[in-house]
Amino acid sequence: MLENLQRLIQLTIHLIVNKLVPLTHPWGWAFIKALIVVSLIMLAVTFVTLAERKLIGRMQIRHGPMRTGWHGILQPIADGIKLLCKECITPAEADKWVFLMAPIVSIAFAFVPLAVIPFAKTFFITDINIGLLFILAVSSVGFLGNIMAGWSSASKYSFLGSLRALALMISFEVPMVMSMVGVVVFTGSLSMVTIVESQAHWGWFILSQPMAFVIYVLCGIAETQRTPFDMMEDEGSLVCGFFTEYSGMRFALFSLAEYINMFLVAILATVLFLGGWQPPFVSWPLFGFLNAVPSVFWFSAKLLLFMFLYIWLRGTLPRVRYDQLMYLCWKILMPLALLNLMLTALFLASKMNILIFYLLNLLVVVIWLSIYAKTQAWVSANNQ
Amino acid sequence: MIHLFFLMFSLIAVIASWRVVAAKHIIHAVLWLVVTFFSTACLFVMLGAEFLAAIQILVYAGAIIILYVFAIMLVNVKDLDIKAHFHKHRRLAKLLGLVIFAELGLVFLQRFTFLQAKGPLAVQQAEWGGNSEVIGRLLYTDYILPFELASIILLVAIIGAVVLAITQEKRA
Repeated sequence: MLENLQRLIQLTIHLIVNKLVPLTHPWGWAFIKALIVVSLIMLAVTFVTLAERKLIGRMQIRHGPMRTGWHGILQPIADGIKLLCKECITPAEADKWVFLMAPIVSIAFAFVPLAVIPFAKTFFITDINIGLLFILAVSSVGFLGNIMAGWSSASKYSFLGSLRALALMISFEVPMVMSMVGVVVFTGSLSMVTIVESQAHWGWFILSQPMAFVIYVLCGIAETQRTPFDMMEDEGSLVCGFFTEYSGMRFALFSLAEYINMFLVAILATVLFLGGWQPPFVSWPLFGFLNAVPSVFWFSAKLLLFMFLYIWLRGTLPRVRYDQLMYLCWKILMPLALLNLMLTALFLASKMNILIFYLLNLLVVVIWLSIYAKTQAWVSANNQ
Repeated sequence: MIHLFFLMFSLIAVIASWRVVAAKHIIHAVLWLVVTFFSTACLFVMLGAEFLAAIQILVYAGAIIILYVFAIMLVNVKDLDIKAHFHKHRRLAKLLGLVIFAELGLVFLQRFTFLQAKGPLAVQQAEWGGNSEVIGRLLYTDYILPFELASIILLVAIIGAVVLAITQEKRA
């Protein structure tokens, strides 16, 4: 019944829009879809900022924002109005054009990857053959916004912040992409739609690729510069990182881009490892009734769960030192990602049962961890 | 429509690459270089080579440009008088410009016949469909030797970098 309702709504929208814009051209429909996605993501971002403040408040035994609206529900709107009304200051020494372009580059490249993401069974703006590669390519260019801001502000704090962010991003990109390759080897395609659909056959990839999932989550948090790994926003030593000199709406654009990047990492984790829009236990006939719920619900539920993980980690963990971060990236995550890739290739070549592969994966993790603990104990004993 | 887009992107590419050479500040030159890479990637997409376009953006605009920026920012270029070196090799530049112009003219005279010619990639793509699949297959079958050679060269470079870093640490 709900599917029928969904179809009815789609049809009405299609009819209304067809009267206004001739939608015989596929671009018209893509444009409408893009509008829907962008506005929904913007809405989600505004309220995730509120959720973050409320949740962190709860974790620190405070209330969080309470004054604007019922339990502070209007707080993000009030913040938005405040930022809109503030003056945009350009430092006298700044490189004017680069300074102006930096937030625009950041926000533009944060939005573009959303074009290839399947949000529901039938709802995606476009499905291209190289979807995953496209996302990686475009989001890696978004970091140019950081470096432009850091350089053009003519301030030492911004400059150091952007250099740190970039060093972090360059190193964590490597294990992150390596962890995705396992999934791509499984599906044999880079298209996001195919990746989600193949998880009906293989089961969610979090089961067959548990190492890759953990590596991806750690790298994703580091890439978006969130709290255990937020070296560039080290308030104690760097004020605010690369956007120290920005104010008003330009500052708002930077933080908006940051939140959209967080969403993108959560979306990618959902699509690659958590089955995208597929309901849980999809291959068991007993749970077939879960298919009656609109697929967009499952997608957003997984997405919001992942966002909660982000906020939870921020409220719980202290900041990691810079050399520890680099150690984690190159000496722990990188070999693990390669090991995972080798295991996956072995599985596909030997055509073993997938349940055995799940167990094998767990076994390898346990063995690896025990070897790691032994060597660490040996190293610390020898150092003394 | 496709001609309009082709004109637009090639115009952007030409203007941006002119700005790369003419920009007064070296960081501006690097940023214009990004624009050039992007419009070239758009041209690749229009030629049906999506994989190449994505790799172009990922590797050049994403990785190499950021390394350029790193190098430039950490070395203080403000002290260098960049403009003084512009007119040093004027004759050589004229000669090279003439050669490139002649080459371009030859291409125009051929009336883009190369566009109709089909390389091995285009033929295989018709058979197997999909861009990345074809490149993967060709790399691991017909062109395995050059591919392995390139990998060995890269491996040597990586080991070299590690060795350099280790010896420096010992001295300090």
